[in-house]
Amino acid sequence: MTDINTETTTIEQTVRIAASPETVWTFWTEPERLAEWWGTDAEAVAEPGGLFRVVMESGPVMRGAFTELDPPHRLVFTFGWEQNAPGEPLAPGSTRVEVTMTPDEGETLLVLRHSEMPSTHASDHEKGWSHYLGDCLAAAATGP
Amino acid sequence: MPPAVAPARIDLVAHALADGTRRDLLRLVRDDERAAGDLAAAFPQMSRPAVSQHLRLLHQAGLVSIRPVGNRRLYRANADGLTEMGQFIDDMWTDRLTKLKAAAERAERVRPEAGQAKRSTP
Repeated sequence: MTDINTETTTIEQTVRIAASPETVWTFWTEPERLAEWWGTDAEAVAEPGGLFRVVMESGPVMRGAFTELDPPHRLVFTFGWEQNAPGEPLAPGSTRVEVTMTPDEGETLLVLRHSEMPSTHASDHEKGWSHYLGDCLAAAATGP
Repeated sequence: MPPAVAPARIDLVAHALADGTRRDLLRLVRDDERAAGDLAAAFPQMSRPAVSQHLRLLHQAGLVSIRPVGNRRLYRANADGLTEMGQFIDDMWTDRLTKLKAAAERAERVRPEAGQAKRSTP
């Protein structure tokens, strides 16, 4: 299920998981469990400001930091590609992922929202790229 | 456990965007169509075959289109391909959340007593 809000350029996906929120939570915060579904290797310091780093099998490395943790219901982290310099699309710290896990009849309804971070000190050049990515996210909503 | 195979499109786009030179090239052809020679001239420290290789990767990822004019090849950022940057993130999450669901449900089945205890709690 995918829905993209074109005004805030947010990707939203929902998935129903036959496991408790407590179990699902551990798959976001324990490195060995992150390596079961996201990448081949992971570092996760599950506290505000803690490093969150996932090496994907195709090469890119996600680098971010946890910003909010409310176990086992909600977590927020920044998301970027480690290789990207500041100002470039998807540089570390440039986007935000919010994950909520709501118990529902013994299962978990997980909602993931991935949005751009508001840019506070972008040069015109950087702003262009930020808008660029925003356009891309918006275009993805309507398809090619 | 062997690593899961990511969709080829995701790999190509991620790989293409993971390199600073290729992002610079993409920026140069964002608004203007440019010949390979002009683009190579923008990277004097790099050999022309190396620049061509970067352009080839961008093209394979669908991020630039090529228009042959005479014996020149003109490059331009591909508007359809660029939507792939947003689509890439969307596809990545669809792919990963499917794996997360499988992994979490597998873990829950390994510890059925925990799930039963939870459900019996008012």
